[in-house]
Order: sequence, then structure tokens, then C-alpha cells
Amino acid sequence: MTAARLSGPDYGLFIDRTKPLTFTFNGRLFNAFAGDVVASALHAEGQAMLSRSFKYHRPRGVLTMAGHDANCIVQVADEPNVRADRYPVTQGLAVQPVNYLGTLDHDLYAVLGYLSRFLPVGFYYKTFFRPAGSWKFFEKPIRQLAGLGHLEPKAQHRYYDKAYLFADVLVIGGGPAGLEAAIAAAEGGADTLLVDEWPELGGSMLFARGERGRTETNARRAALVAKARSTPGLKIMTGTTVSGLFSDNWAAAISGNRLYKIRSKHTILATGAFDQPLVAPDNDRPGIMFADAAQRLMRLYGVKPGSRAVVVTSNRFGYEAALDLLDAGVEVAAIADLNPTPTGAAVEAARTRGVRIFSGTTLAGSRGKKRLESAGLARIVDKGKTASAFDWISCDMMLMSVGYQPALNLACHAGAKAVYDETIAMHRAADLPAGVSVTGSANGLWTEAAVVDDARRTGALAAAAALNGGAVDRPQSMADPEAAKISHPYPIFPGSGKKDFVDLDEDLQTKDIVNTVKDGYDDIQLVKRYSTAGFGPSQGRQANLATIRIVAHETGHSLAAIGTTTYRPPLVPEKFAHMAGRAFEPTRLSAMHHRHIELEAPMMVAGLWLRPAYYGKPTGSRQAIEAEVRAVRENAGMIDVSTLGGLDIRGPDAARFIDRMYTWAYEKQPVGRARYTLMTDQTGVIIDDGIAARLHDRHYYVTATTSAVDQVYRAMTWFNAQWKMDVDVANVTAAYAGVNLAGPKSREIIMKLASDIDFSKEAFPYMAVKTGRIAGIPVRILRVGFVGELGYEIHCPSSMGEALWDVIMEAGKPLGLKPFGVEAQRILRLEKGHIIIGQDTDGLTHPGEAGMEWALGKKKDFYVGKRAIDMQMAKGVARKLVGFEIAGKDTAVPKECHLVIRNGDIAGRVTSVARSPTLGKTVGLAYLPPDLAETGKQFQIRADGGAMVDATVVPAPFYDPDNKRQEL
Amino acid sequence: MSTPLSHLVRTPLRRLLEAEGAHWAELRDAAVADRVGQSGDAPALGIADLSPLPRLGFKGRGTIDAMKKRGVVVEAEPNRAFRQPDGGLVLCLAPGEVILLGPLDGDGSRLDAMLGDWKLEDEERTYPLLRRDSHAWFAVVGYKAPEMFSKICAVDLRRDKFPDLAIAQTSVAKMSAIIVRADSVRLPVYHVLADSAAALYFCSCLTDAAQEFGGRLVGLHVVKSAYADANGP
Repeated sequence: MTAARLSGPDYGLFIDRTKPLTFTFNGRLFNAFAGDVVASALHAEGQAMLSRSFKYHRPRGVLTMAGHDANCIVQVADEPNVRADRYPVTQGLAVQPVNYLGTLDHDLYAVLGYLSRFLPVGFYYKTFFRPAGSWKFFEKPIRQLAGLGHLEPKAQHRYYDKAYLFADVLVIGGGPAGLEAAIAAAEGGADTLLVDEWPELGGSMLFARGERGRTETNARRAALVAKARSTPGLKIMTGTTVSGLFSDNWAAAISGNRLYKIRSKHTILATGAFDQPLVAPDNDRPGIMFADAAQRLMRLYGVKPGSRAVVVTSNRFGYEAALDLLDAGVEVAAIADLNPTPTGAAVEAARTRGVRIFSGTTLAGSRGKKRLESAGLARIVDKGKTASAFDWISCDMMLMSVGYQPALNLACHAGAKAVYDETIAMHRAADLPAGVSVTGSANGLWTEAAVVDDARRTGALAAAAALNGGAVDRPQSMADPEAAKISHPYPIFPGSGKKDFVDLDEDLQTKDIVNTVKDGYDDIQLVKRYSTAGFGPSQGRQANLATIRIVAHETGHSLAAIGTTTYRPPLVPEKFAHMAGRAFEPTRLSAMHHRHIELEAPMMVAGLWLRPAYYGKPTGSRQAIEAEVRAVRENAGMIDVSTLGGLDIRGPDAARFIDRMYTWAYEKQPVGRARYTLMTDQTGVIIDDGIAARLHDRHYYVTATTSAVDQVYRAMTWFNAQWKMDVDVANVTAAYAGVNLAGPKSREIIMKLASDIDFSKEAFPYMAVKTGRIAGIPVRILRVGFVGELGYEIHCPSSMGEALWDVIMEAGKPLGLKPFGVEAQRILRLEKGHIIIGQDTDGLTHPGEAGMEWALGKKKDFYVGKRAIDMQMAKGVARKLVGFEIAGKDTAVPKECHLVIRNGDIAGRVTSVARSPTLGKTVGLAYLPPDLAETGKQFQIRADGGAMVDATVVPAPFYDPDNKRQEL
Repeated sequence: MSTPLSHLVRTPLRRLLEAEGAHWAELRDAAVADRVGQSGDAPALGIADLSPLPRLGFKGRGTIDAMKKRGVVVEAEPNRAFRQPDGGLVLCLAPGEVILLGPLDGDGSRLDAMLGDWKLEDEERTYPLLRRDSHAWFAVVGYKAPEMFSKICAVDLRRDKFPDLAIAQTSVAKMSAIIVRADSVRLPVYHVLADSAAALYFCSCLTDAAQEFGGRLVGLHVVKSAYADANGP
């Protein structure tokens, strides 16, 4: 394996040669070193082909070595869409190529390349749907062809989380500009955070030769990194990629399995630039890569990228890469320079070392099967045109460096515009939002002096802005005359009969973009959508600029006029797991929760709470629920009602406030008495009910339903703020635990407990309220009867809730006391005809429809919703909630929300229904039209399977209509 | 040995702490986990359940005056805490709302008296709230606390940004919570009050976030030790 590895300290910065590893690719064993990425290790062992292209299944290999392209997509175990040029090798890693049929070397789908004439741009908008019904024949093979990799439904769950980070100044990008800016910001007193996606700081200094040679570049990097690491106030995060920049300097950054949410006062983008490809015939074979990629292979991973190279370039970076290759012992067969008269120090250095330089020349073709074997060079005769005569040069690699595109994605996420600058043949950021700066090559600066000067100034000003509340002027962009020599204005040379790729992700050629324009889609946004240019995993990093250039060329407009497509986050692939993070699902448990668990109660969700459904094993649920109902009717039962909302309303205006919030009358409610409460919103819709217990002339303890208490509390504080009443509203739900002890023997049970409260019928009648202690526990007791029996709702401080449960259960054991759950309570309350808000009402129900007219204070001048209710009552109701029963033991029992059908039309719906163990029949509540709602009328309910069930309207309550039992 | 079951007042984390090997210490009306687990060493990050300790709230527009009348050291400075002579801490949440945290020795007599003496008829426009019941009380002790909180809370709690005695009323692990920094002589200490009904969930979030920093549940003695000779925050 050492044959393709370079030795010496200048090579293999990221790898540890003392730690060899093995892994498999496509089932074959490969060697690697710790620190290698999959692509570097494969390339080192001669595996140049990494994947097959998306549409034509052409062989593809390393392109960027930076995770910026789709060529390197592989599958690792259950994880698809892994970028092989960024994914570290670990011992035993199993890597699979994707998107082929047969073998990677002999992909049967490659036949599609010969059918390309039948797959013109936009073909999927025009085919597969005619004749009608044909899609079902196309769907299966298309689905099989589509996508890269395999999504494993049984993929292993992994731990992902999120964390916040804060900084005065956030610097994104740890290259020369980012380092300089971060140091300057920290020296300016700002708490500075520098984030870089690579494991080591340095950016292009990690791999590039640099203006002054590799030795100088190394020294410069070492000095800058050392200074950064020793600068107080500068925190550095490597291996972290910022994937989105949002309003108010909110940056999302991914590091391993964690998503960081970074908040800064000022953000500096030193994000560098993306290589742009040379568009030419057969420009996609394995071995054809960016010059930067070859330099990364050598410097970062110690991999010799090939043995004989051709370099096609239009700037100094191509020459510098050629010099690096020569230093590494790679033969450079030729340099083709797109410029007619190449000049500069690097050009002279290459000439001095005897490299053949072809001026005004470009790639015009390539040959090779699994890897490049030769490159065809031709003279450029006009914009986008080459001479027909080729020089074929044998080589196994071709390096491209014909231009860059500043990485302005994050700037654009934050609201900036990318505007084309003809003078440098690249885009620049315009209209940057406040608090965001761009520096370095992302800001159009390419020479060391210009970058250092601009970055330092940007850092210092950002610090000042962050520390002074943004009151410092934005730094002006520096001019860099050398920037005009970086990007060729039109490195696009289509060739007839060969595929020249503009977008390697989507296998789009020049003619595809040209035909898109010819089809009438000449707006760049439409070009993207019609052609799919930029749709692939690389998100147009290498395709957008070439596409814009072709569209400009075809339409005759300037590139500035064409504009760009929209840069959207995320900049790099984010997993759903990153976005989801660690699940936070608050769960509220009553103080008695563990007692329910000990009694084997299945717990059911009620808002954030868990409540016992019933007690016992699920196999015997019906019997358990019926036994609980019987216990309440015959002896006594106890249910945990801690989840009920509780509100303390205190102050001189407490009664007046309650009177305005609820529909009934409360100002004259005596102290020590409880009264039903019904709350409506301003449109008269019922939103909650409960009990108002007057504990003092100026103190009401109000209960609310479990799920609505927060809404009720919000409404109360909102109205109190408007009414400016002398009253305090406190949500005390969590402060109080509670139980409802109900049944004919409940008084006997409660009287067994030591208490300072007189529980006699005379002293503590129905709807009375008392405070005191039972068994040493301070309590508020309401004699209410939701389940229709003698009962006590006992509330105590929640820290004593478990103790309260224990003492009552102990006292009740000899008298047959049983705990009962929500399911039994639903039946019990239904037998008693009590409604549940939210189940027997909906988002439009007003009191007249629900039969709650009795709970309206008709003599009151005001309560929330009164005006709307008065109007509705005057207008009359369109439906009524009524009780019904279903005769016969064997009749099907409908379910809640089953429909009432009359003459084939929907006439109403069931809201509650149950087989009553007490009454021995099925009873329920349903909304019916007024003419059907009279007692004795019959109607039909459509039950499961379409069975029609006959039901009869009967008066509610179904059980104890004279209320004798609850008033015992 | 005292156990929570010998008292009417019990922490919502009783079973969790028992499972973690808690050793209980007797308070006036409850038992508090004094030590958790076998290791006596304080971890780099300790999370202590102080829920059994006394605390009380008052709310209403006359609250600050009423508190001052009772000798409570407090000013109408929302989101600031005030150390009390008895070692307790008073949290001013709003111009009309305070929470009084009792001292770490568990002496609740002062708060009991304040609650017992309060009468609606006094028309002070301040109303007591049972914060010992509505809110679980955690202390997070250690230098890594801000980093740990950054995983579950969006507020910048770094020590140079969130000073001693600062309060954040915010969302932690998708729950409303009150965080107050009240450093000890030796270590940063963040007291956290959160919904008592969700105490188990909340505690699981804290311990989960603390794990990567070597954090774990600890007993009251770790908090007391942090405060060295003082009796509380």
C-alpha cells in the first residue's frame, strides 16, 4: 500500500502512519491509516472509481476531496449518503458503493448512457404519464433507479443532541482570513468563537503551495494557529460545520452527533470559495479532479494522486499544484493554460522545471474506462470553442483550476445577495445584513497581503460593533487587482458527440441547459427547476456558475442580469436526527403516580399528564372497569384527580372577577360553598368547566379541566390585565394533589381519619367546602358529585399527595374501597349525564346546544361571551346534545364520533357512549337536530362496519335523576 | 435512619434517589437525600435534589413592601436574588412576586411563621404560594454547569455573562424553570426550580446533560460542602 503513499513531514498531516487500519469497500479489503478518509485510503490503493453517476451511470472518482461533490457518495452500514472524502476510516468499516446494477466495475445500468438521446432535459415532465394509467408500469423501475443508497428501516438508533453556544463575534472558517479576523476580534476585546469544518485549522494553508512556497505557507499556518490558540477570549471549534445562518446571527453548526445553535452579536464569514469545473467533453472520468483535491490528497493524507498528470488551468493555483506534483515525484506531462499569454511567478517556476505549457489551450476530450488514460488538448479559437485538432497526452490524472465561486451561501441565508462582478468573473456579496461581514476569498480577496489586511480590519470592527451595540461602520471591501486573474470568464467548451458535464450530480450537459432555454425556461429559477441543475447533493456548488454562464450566453444577457438561484440552508447535509436532537417530552406525574403503577394500572396520556386508565391487567380490562364502577356505586372508590387544574383567585375583587369570567352568578355565593363553573370565550363557545369553591370572602379556589387549565389561566390573566381589578390569579395546579373519594361508604371512610372537620351530613352538605386537616395533612375538601354518588374531592399540598392516598386507602380497605381509573369515571359520569368539555363539546359548541342554559347567569350584565350567547339563544339552536339509550343486550355498541344518519344524510354525531354496568344497557350523548331531540324520538346511528343501530332519545341523567345519592 | 416514608412530605424523586442508593437525613418534616451512591467524592458536576427543603412564594402588587415589613432582604429588582442572614435566598421574579428559599439546614420555622401569620384581612396585596409543592428544587454544583445547561437551555449562563445572584425565568428541556446562580465560596452553584409534577422528567434531563461532564446525582452534603462554612447560598 505504500506505493501510492508519499513519505516525509510535508505529507499526511491528518494521518497517523503508526496506526494502520483495514476496512472493506465493495466487499474487498483495503488498508488505511488512522486519520484517513474513505476516499483517500481507496485512492491510495488505486481504487480511483468510487461511484456511478446518477443518470448515465458513468464511472466517477475523487473530485473535490472536500465533501463538496456527489461523486464520493457511498453507503456505510445502515447510513446512506456518506461522503467518502470526509468520512474517517475506522477499523473494520464496511463501505459500499451505490447506484449500480451488477458490479461497480460492470454496471449494467451504464447502458443508459447510450440512451441519452431519449432522455432529454425535462423528459420526466413529458413522459411516463401517457397513455393514462401507464405510470403504474413506469413507477417500479423508476423507483429502483432513483436515489443513491439504501435507507434501512431498521437502522440503529443513535444519540443526537443539541447545544447552545454564545459569542460576541462568531468567525466561520479557520483559513488565513478567518484566523486573522478571529485573532483581531479577540484582541479587540470580543468574546470570539472560531468555527472550522476541518479537523485542523488553516484552510487552504493546510494543502495549498501558497504565494511564497510550501515552507513559508507551513510556517505561516503554524504561527497563525499558535497565535489563535494563545489569544485570550478566542475559543476554537474544529470539525464543526456551520450549515445555516439565520436572522439575528443565529447559526446552526454540526459537530458529530450534535447540532449547535450559536448566537452571536456579529458574524464574520471567512468561508473561502468553491472550485469551479472546466466544462469539456468527457470531463468526468475518475482521475479528473480539482487541483485542490490533488493537493489535499498529498498534504492531508500523504496520497500520491497519480503518476502522470495534465493540468488545465487559468490561474496560479494550477501551476502551484503542478509544482507540488513535481515535488511529490509525479510527472507533469503538460499544463494547458486557458489564457493566451500565461504570466506570473508560478508560470515561470513551472517553465524552469521543464514542464510543457500550452497557452490558450483547454481540455477537449478524455479517454479511459475505469480511470483516465489520456487527455485531449485543443487550442481555444473563440469563446467556448476549440480547434478540431487534438493533442492526446497519456496521463492518469488531470487537474482543473479554472476558477472559483466565493462561498456566499451563509451570507445569502442571512439575507445578502450574490451579485456577479464582471471584473473578477465571480460573485460578491451585496446588501449584507447588519452584524454580518465577509472576508477573505469569500470577499473577493486572493492575495495574502489583501486578505490579512481586510481580515484584521474586519475582525477589529466586528469586535467594536459587538461590544458597542453595532454602532460601528461596516468595513469597506478591499480591492485586490490579482482577483481578476483567478477565474476564467467562460471555461465551457462543449464538444459534439461527447458528454460535457455542467452538473455532475445530475449528469447535465451544456446542451441540456441550452435546450432548457430553448424550451422557454430562461429565468434562472426556472432553468434550475426544469433542468434540475443544482438539485443534487452538491447543491450546485460546481454547477450553478456554469449554468448561469450558459444561460447568459444563450440569452445574450449579462451574468449580473441573470442573477442566481436561491441559496437555502442547509449548506451541508443535515440528518433528521440532527434537527430532532434529543427528544424532550415533558411528562407530568401526580404525587400518587407510583401507587397506580404498583397497582398495575395502565397509564393513559392526558395532556402532559399520565393518568390511570383502570387497575389490573389489560386482558381483564372490561371486568376491571366494571368492578371499579360497581365499587363506587355500592361501596366506595377513589380516583386520583391531581391533574385537575387549580387556580387561587384572591383579593378584594375576587368575587367580581369570577362573576365576569364564568357564566353563572358568584358574587352572592356564600363562603364555604362550591358552585359549578362554565367558561365561554368571547364568541360564546364553551371552553372549560369546573367548580368555584369560596374559601373566604376574597378567596376562590377554582378547578379547571386537566387539559384546559393553562388556557383558563391565560384567559384570566389576560382579562385581569384589561379590567385592572384588585385581584391576584395564581395557577396552583402543581401545588395541589387531589383525590375524589366517592360512593355510599365514603363518609364512613373519611370519618375514620383523624380530622378537625365535621363530616356529618348537616355540617358538610352537598356542594359545601371546608378546609382543615385529615390525618395531619392540610386539605381543602369539596363535596361535589361528578360520578353521582356521595363524594369528597380532597385536595392537599402535592408533596403530601402520596401520604393522602395511603391513609385513605388504608382507612377504606375494610369497607371495600377500590381505586378507580379514568375509564370507570367516564362511565360513572355518563350514567349521571355529566358532560366532558372537549369530548361532548367541540370548538363551536355554545351553552344552548349543550343543554347548559341552566348555568347561565341571565340577570348578569356581563360575563365573557354573554353578548354572543344572548344572540345565539335568540336565534335558536341548530343542534341539541341529548341523552340516548340503545335497547337490547346484543346490539352493537356505537363508538364516540359515530354518525347519526337520517334519510341517508348525516344528522348528528355521538359524543359519549358506554355500556352501563349499573343500568344494564347502552347509554350515550349525541348531538341531534332539534326536531329529533325530543324525548322518545328514535334515530339511527351508523356503527362499525356500517351497521345501523336504533337509539331512543331519553332524558339525562340516566342514573339517579333526583340526585338523592350524591346528596346523601 | 430517617426515610421519606416516615414523613407526610415526600420528594417527587424519592424512588429515583432510593434506587441510586440515597442516604437520607432528617429534616423537621421530611427526609432529604444527604448522600447518593457509594462514592463520597463530589463529582465534577453534582445535581442535588433539594425539594424537601422549605420554600414559599408570595405574589401580588404589595409583595415587596410586605416582605420588607417582615424583615426579608429584597428589592423590587426582577430577576435578582438576595442572600438572607439565615442562609436562605430570596428570588425577586417580578415587582410583585418573590420566592423564598430556606436555608440548607432545613430550618423552615421562619417561612412557616410567615405563612401562618399571613391573613387576607390584612389587605397587604400579597398572597402566599406553596412553592415547596408546586416546584421541585435542584442545585447544580460545578464549573461545568453552564456548559451542561447549554444543552437544555437557550439562556447564556456562562459565569462571565450570568453573574452571581442573577435569575433566568426560562425554558429548560421544554419546561418552564427558574434558574438562579448563587455561588458558594468554592464552586459555582445554580439553583433550579421547576414543575414538581415533572420533577422526574426534569431530573432525567439534567443528569443526561451532565453525563458527558462526569456529572451525577449527589446529596445535600455536596451542596453544603460547596458552601463551606456558610449555612446556605
